[in-house]
Formats: sequence, C-alpha cells, structure tokens
Amino acid sequence: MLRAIWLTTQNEARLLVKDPIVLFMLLFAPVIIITVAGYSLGSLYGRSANSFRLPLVDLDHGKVAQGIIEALRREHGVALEMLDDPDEARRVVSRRDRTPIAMLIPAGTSAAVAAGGQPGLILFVDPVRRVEVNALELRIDELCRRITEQARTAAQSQIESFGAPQALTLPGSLGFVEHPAIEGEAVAVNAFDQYVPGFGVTFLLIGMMLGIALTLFDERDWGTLKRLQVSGAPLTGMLLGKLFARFIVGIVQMVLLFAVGWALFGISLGRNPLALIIPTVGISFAAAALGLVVASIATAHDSVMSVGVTISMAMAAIGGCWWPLDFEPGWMRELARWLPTTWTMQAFNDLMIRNEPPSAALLPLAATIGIGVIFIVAGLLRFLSLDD
Amino acid sequence: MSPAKAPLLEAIEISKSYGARLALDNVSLAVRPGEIAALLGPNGAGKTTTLSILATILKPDSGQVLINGKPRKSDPTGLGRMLGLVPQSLALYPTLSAAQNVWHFARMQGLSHNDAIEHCKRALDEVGLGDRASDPMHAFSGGMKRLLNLACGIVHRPPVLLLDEPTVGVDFQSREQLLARIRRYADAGAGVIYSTHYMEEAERICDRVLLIDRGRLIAEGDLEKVISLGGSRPRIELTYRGQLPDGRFGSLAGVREIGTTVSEGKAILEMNSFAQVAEVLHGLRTLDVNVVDFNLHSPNLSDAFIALTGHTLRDQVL
Repeated sequence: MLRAIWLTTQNEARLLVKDPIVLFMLLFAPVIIITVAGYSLGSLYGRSANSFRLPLVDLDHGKVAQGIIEALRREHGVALEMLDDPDEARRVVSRRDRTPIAMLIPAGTSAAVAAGGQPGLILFVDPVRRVEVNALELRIDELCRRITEQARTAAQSQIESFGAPQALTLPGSLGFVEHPAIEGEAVAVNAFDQYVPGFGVTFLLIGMMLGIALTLFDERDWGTLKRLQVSGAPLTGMLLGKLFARFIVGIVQMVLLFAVGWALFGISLGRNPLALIIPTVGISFAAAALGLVVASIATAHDSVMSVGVTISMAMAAIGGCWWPLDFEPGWMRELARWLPTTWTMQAFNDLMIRNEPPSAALLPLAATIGIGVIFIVAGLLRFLSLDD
Repeated sequence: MSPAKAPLLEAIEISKSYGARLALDNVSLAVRPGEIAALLGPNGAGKTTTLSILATILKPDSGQVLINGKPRKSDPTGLGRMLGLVPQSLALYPTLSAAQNVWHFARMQGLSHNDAIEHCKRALDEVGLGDRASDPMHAFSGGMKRLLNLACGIVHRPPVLLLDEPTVGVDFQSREQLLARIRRYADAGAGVIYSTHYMEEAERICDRVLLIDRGRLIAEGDLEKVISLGGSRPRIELTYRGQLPDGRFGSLAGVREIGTTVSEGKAILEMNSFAQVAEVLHGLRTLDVNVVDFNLHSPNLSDAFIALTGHTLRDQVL
C-alpha cells in the first residue's frame, strides 16, 4: 500500500513537472487573483491603493466652506478639484473614467450653520458606482461631523468666555443630500443590476473555456480532427464551426440569465431590453475565441482547466465583473482597456443603469469584436502550426 | 485484382525524419482497385508514418503522393474524399451514438442529407452494428468500437481505404468479422492498404505484401514472391526416440538438416517440396530413426521477414 502511494506520488510529480503550464498556474494563479482583489478592494478596508478626484463647487465662500475645503485637502487619498459651475461638476461625474461623486456647497451654508440651521451639502453621484459612492460618503459624513463639532466647540467657548449664553445661538449641524449626476436618473441601483451581468459574464467565460477548449483538446487527442481532414474537411472550417456553436450557446446562456434576473430580482433591462443583445454578442464572440487560444496552447486536460479558469477569473475581476473598475489602481485600469470584459460591463452599465440608448453599446461592441478577432487569428495560427 | 489497372494511390520515393531519426527512407508503393496491400512490419517500423503520409495528413520531407494519378493539392476536397482513413486509435466521439458518429463523418465527407441516411445505414449494417445504431459508443466493447471505427472510414464509400492496425485489441470473433468485411470491401473494387504486424492476417486477406523495416521497404510482391525472397523452403519437424545413426540425416537425398536438439529428441529438416514427405519418412525408417511425431511447416511471411531482416515481426525496432 505504502509503496503504491509512494510510486503514485512520484509519478504524479513527474507528470506535473512535464506540464509546466499546470505547474505555473498552480503556483501563480492564486497570486494573480490575490493581487487583483487586493488592489481593487483595498479601499473597502480603509486604505485605497489609489487616490480619487473630488470635484467641488463652492457657492458659499464662507467659513464653513473654507473649513470643508481645508479638511478635504488634508484627507489622505483625495485630490480636490475646484470648479465654478455646478453643471460642470455634474458632467464630470456622468462622464466615465472620471469620478463617482462631486460636491456642491450651496450659497448660504455658513450662514445657515451659524444660525443653528441644518443645511445640506449636495453630492452629485453616479449610481453605477454605488459602492464607491457609499465609501466616499462615509468619509464626507465624518468630515461634516468634525466641522460641526469644531463650530460647536468654538461657540461653546465663546459662550463660556462671555458668560451670556442667552445672547448667542449654537451652530446647527452640517449634512448632505444626494442628487443624481444625470437629471432624472436614480441615485441608487438594484445590486443585481451589477451582479447579473457581472457574474453572467464570469460564468460565460468559464463555460466557454470548458466547452471549447476541452472539447477541442479532446478532438485533437482522439484524432477526429485529423481524420476528418483526410476527407477534405478544412481545419479552419471545423474550428470555426465549433466556435459558432458555442457562441450561440453563450448568447442563449446570457439571455436566460437576464430573463431570470428580471423575473426574480427585478433587474433593470434599460430603455430597450433588446439592446442588451449587443454586448452579449460581443462577449460571446470574444469568449469563444479565447477558448480557441486556450485549446491551442494547452498540452493536457489539466492545462485546459487551470489555464482556462485562471484566465477567465482574472479577466472577469480586472474587467469590472466583480467590483467597479474604479476600485482598481491606474495600471490595472489601463490593462483592463484591453480586455473584452471591461467593454462589455461598460455597455451593460450604460444600457441597464444609465438608461442610455442602444448606440452607447456600439463602441464597446466594436472593441470586444476587435479583441475577439485577435484571439481567433492567434488561436487559428497556433492550431495550424500544430497541424503542420 | 488486375496489375494492369492504374494505381488509386501511389507514394513515390517518400522520406520522413523526426529530428535526427529517419522514419521513412525513400519508400515507393502503390495500391490498385480491388487489391489489399499489406503494409507489414514490426512496431516502430514506419507503418503509421507511411499511412499518415498516404492519407496526406503528414507532409513527407521529400517525395510525393498521388491520388488517382494527381497530387492532392490539385483538388484537395475531391481527391481527399477518395480516401478513407481508419486510424489505429479510435478517432470517434465517445458520447455520441454509433449512428451519430457515422452520420457526422458522412456529412463531413460531403454526403448530402439523403445520401448520408442511406450510407450510414449501409455502413453500420456492413460492420454488423445495424441493431446497435442508437447505442452510445462508450457502451461498446473494444471489438465493436473497432467495427464502428471502420464504419466511419467506409461510410462515404472511398475508393481507397487506409487501415492502421485495425484489429489491435479485438477479440477473435470481432477480428474474423472485420477481416471478412475488409475483404468484401476490396472485392467490390476498392484499393486497401492494410497496416499490421500480424503476419497471419496479411496472409489471409491480402493480395500483395509490402514488408517494411526501419523505415525501408525491404520486399514487395504477392505472397509467394515475398516468401520466396526469404529463401525458406518447406520443413518437417521431427520428434524421435533413441539414438540417431552416425552421419545423422546426411544420406537422405534433397534434405538439409537445419537444427537438431539431441537432448530433446527433436530435429528440423528442410526439403525442396512437400512431395518429398513420404520419401523422407521412408528414408528415416531405413536409417532406423524411431520417429514418434512429425509436423510439416510451410514457409511463411514470418520466415521471410526473419530471413530478410534478422529479427522477428513482433520485435520492436528501436
């Protein structure tokens, strides 16, 4: 028994060493995922890996506004950007790749606080980036509390020095109210509006890896592809046929997922539900093409699984399927621009949450198809070279 | 078989190396309509490489392959469909049924929907799997899988069939069925190249033999010709009791002693022909040799192979 265990262990080690791709993935896949998650979710635990820009419009020009601005300038990880026009602040938020939140200090805020009122700062928010908005609002709330406390402490000491409390009014408290960055838009979203497309894309990628890469690898292994080539079937045609079948399955998978999301979780399907087919087509195409690449580089079943799943999960994570893209540090966001998942999530967010027209999904579609074409060409070239 | 018929498939001076190892060295061969040509050699002799090149899925380093007198590239699809390959490994879809497997190959090989229906049924019936058409391939025995492998190769009725060790791992009964079906397929006009290291199969169903060893074609011709190239003659294998006379078998005319084990009481004598048997037995009685048993042995491919190469058919060529 022990001999069998020992010999089997030795043989497994030999098999593993013979397959460096599996070995690499076993060792480095967790590192990749941990790196992506660590950099992306760092801000949720208090210390973000990157700073955020905060556009601010000061219409108050009073002491309270001055206190807020000075406090924000001292805040770690906040890059304050002073603007003059509230509409410009709104536009900055509604534009992608900018900032999830902008602040407006309304005129008369200082006076209202001094008079014991409860004026509110106005925050323009992007509902798509709700998680970031919440994290930032916690910091702004703390800032308001500190400023209110300082004002009250100052007033209290004045009262004590003058000894005439009846002659002075204690300052009021400072709060904030949310306004949508785009008129008519909601300030909060259904969490499933993010999760359904995000995890749908993740499982689409994994499904494609298993569906395409494993079956292609099997066919190479069984010799069926070679055998069919004898009788004139072109290899390229057979490969594209396989991709097309899985591409259709991918579209059906996403459509079913959206139907279930709508029926069970009440997700938004945007102003034109049919438009959701645009990013769905793009990501199904790119995922199928990626499956071809994985099949062409894999040397064993184990390689397909490890390479495929690692690539799928990394692409989903970096591309914003699991958390907002803006959680990620700059270099990772740059990398994300080259991933089909990023463009697909952008299109789903625009259509489902920002209620943009179908045309908003066309650029992401073009980018996704372009990336997919690169994958297909690379996969075909690799397959054809193996064939020779 | 008619030697006058033009070859359906022809290899002209093909060579192939894998790195520093020369797998095929200037091999030329051909197969004609109605003919089964056995490609016979030990494991590693170059049979699969030859078949892969003939099937045009492996490029030779030099030489060329002609299908119906033309290179494949002159009509890749049309000429390719003249070929049917039955590889040594089971190149099938395990989860599909027998009918689905055959159907896929039929359609991929250019048969129309209606033709495919007819051809699939016929192919499965021909290999004896007609009543198991809807069963999944993975539920089949090893022999049935081999038969299905054959059905997928013949479903489009290719004029040339390339078989790579089709009976490896097949039980006796399935092997008999398979050999009979291949013979019938050739009798219907197809040219068949049958790669094997089982010389008895080659002797049974093949019209012509191509002996290959270490990548070289060492003999080619009909069975009798190849056997005669080995220089072997009929033998009588004796078991005797007692002593042999002085001079042993030297006084027997037309007989050559090729091996005697005195301690076991066994001797092997080579004759010019089997017509000498009675005369040899009479001579032995005259010499007072007490023969208790004897066997007659006809020269066969194995003898020829040993004579031509110095090793047996089942030896691995390293």
